[in-house]
Amino acid sequence: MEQTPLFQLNLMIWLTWPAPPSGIVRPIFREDGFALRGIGSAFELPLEIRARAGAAGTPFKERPGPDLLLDHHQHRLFLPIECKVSSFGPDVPPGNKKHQACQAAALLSATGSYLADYFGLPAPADWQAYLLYAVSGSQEAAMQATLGHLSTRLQTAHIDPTPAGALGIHMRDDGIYLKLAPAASVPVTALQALPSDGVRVVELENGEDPRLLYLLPWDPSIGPADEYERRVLEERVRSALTSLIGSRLDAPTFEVSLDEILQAAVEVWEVWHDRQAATGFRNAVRVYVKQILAQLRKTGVDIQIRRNTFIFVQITPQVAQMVRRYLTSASFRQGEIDLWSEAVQLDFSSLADGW
Amino acid sequence: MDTLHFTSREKVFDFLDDYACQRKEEIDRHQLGKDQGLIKTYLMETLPTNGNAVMDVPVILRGTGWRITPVDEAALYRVRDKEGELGFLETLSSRHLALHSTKKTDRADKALRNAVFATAQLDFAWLAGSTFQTVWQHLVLPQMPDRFVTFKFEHLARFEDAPWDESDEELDEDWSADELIERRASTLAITERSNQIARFLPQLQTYHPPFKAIKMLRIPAAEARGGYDFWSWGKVTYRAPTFRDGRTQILSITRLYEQTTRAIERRLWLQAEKTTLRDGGESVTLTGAPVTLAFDPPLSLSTFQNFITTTFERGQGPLRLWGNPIPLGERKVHVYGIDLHLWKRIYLEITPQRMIVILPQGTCGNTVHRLVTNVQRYLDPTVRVFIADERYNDLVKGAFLGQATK
Repeated sequence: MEQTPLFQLNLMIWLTWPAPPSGIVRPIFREDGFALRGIGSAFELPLEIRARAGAAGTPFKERPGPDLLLDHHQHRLFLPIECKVSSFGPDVPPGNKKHQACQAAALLSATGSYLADYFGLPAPADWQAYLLYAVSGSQEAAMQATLGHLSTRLQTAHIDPTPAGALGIHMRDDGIYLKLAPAASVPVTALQALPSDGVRVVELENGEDPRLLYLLPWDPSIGPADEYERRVLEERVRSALTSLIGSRLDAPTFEVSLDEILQAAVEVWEVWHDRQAATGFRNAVRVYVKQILAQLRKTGVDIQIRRNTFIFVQITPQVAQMVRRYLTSASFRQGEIDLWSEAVQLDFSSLADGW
Repeated sequence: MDTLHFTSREKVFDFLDDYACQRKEEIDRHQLGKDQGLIKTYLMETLPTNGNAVMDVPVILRGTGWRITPVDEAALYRVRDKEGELGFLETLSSRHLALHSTKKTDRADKALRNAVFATAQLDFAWLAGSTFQTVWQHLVLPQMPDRFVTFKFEHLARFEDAPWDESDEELDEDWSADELIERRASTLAITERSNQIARFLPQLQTYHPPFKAIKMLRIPAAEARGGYDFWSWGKVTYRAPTFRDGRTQILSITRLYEQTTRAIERRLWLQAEKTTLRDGGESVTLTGAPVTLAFDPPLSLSTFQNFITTTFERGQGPLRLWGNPIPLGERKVHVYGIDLHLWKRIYLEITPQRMIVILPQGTCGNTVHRLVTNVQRYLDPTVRVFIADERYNDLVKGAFLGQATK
């Protein structure tokens, strides 16, 4: 398989979660005392930093957000992690404010004491940060060079850059390995004094697909990159809808809302729901739910709609049994879910009585 | 016996005590009446409530078809189903119910099975081999070394070689019956003094791992002959002369069960935690941990494939899981599916070497007990189970002995 940003992101999350001592995942961040503080948390940088970057002509993102932010309270250390399939260069084409180097320069400007103060932690001056760029294997040296270039430019602009390193994610037959760029030195014990082929963080049988379960099924800023990622999101939506209806059928009347389905399918929905890319997804899920409600109504189930909440009424044990039979049928389980076509992503039927 | 005239919990317990005593005398005389059922208690679990909310029994039972009438004001109900009187239902905690019945096994087992399968509010309380081992090692063996104890072991390698078929499932209707079906099951029953069993059980389990799949343990009654048969699916059969003593044992096992279930949920639930930042922005993190079931030696490829096909493609088998497996090669699937007992979400990675389980917030920790019990029974009796980074056995032991858990 080809690495994708979501694969990398999920791998890094797994490395912060507890795991059995002899399990297939070695959570190197957790075993060193790091904890996951935030996913995609953006923060604003100080005005003077932005002014200095602007004056020096350094392309810069005003409100950067690393893919993951880890912290280590005992060592008072932040570890922002950015996941990239490929490395990129330090030069930004004129006018391209979305270039990855803009985010990198901004993240390099976020010192530990600034982040600690921003998050309201005690003794912020004691905190340090180390920026980590995780890239596909063999890209780490080029990525390290870019980080070096950007750090030099920031120093020229009188901005003190935070230390940074590049980490290659290497997929081999027997596992996933992490390998630091030669010039990098990261404050994570397992990544120091590495064997020449890196540290194995996921153990695989020979030829086993390296994907772990996706804890985060979707990033609205990226979207699904391959067939697996599409399937994951489709099955998450299907199981969310099934669970919310199926678990409530013992009540004579119950409600399920569209937001509940979205929240169950994508646990971080509550925070990401207002992103522009999420709108298309919400529309698509609405279209799918509409199709399923139509099928349920054909069996005689009374479902009323109030905005984006659907209300099941007069549910008798017989009706409940019928609905459960439908939800466990092969036709429902194997039914197509289209979350990706333009037709469903741009569905505006909710503006009228689209249900 | 007409139980309509009972107006208090005390009178119900008196009746059940007398009944237990009479049946025990009949057992001792080998004259148990043909139509007389032993007392049975069925321990059931419902969904976690918010905080200390009181269980709403009529709502929980709505889908079962049972009719309940309160005996008194202390959460004890008389239960009838369409075949007539069934027993007495009692709430033991904010999420556990017990049905006490004097009906014959066939009648009562079937009624319970139908009720649990008809609603998304109830599941059995599943006592895995580890739970029985803990009770045996830390209570029965040290405190009752000279008492007779009964173990029943059962491992059914139903997914080996040939797929599970309808006839397997039909025969497995007897999965709850006390009488074992020798021709279908690799089983063993041992009744012996505790200290004698202690001499050979570890070796027996080492040489023949299927005997780690414990289906029933009879815990001796205190200062009386006989004991209480605790079955892996939460049924307890009284083979001792007092109801109240048996109920006391059940309450202890329920507390152990509840503690471990809550610990599992506390550690495992996948949930997003949102933080509002100083500038009004929001940050989110994902907390949780996996359950890991490690198969060593690995399942054969045919067992693995039969298990996936039976459970997900055909919707059969003992685990009652639902979903579309996403194949990742020949030896690995991911399932983002549903646990059909309580209709809650469950995410699984399954390979011949392991099963990794993620429980999204709200999915009952009971699911883990059921998985462990049934995986031991049908897939791998030597399965090693971890709740996050802690052995399942250690979690149960810690709860039983009051030791701090992580």
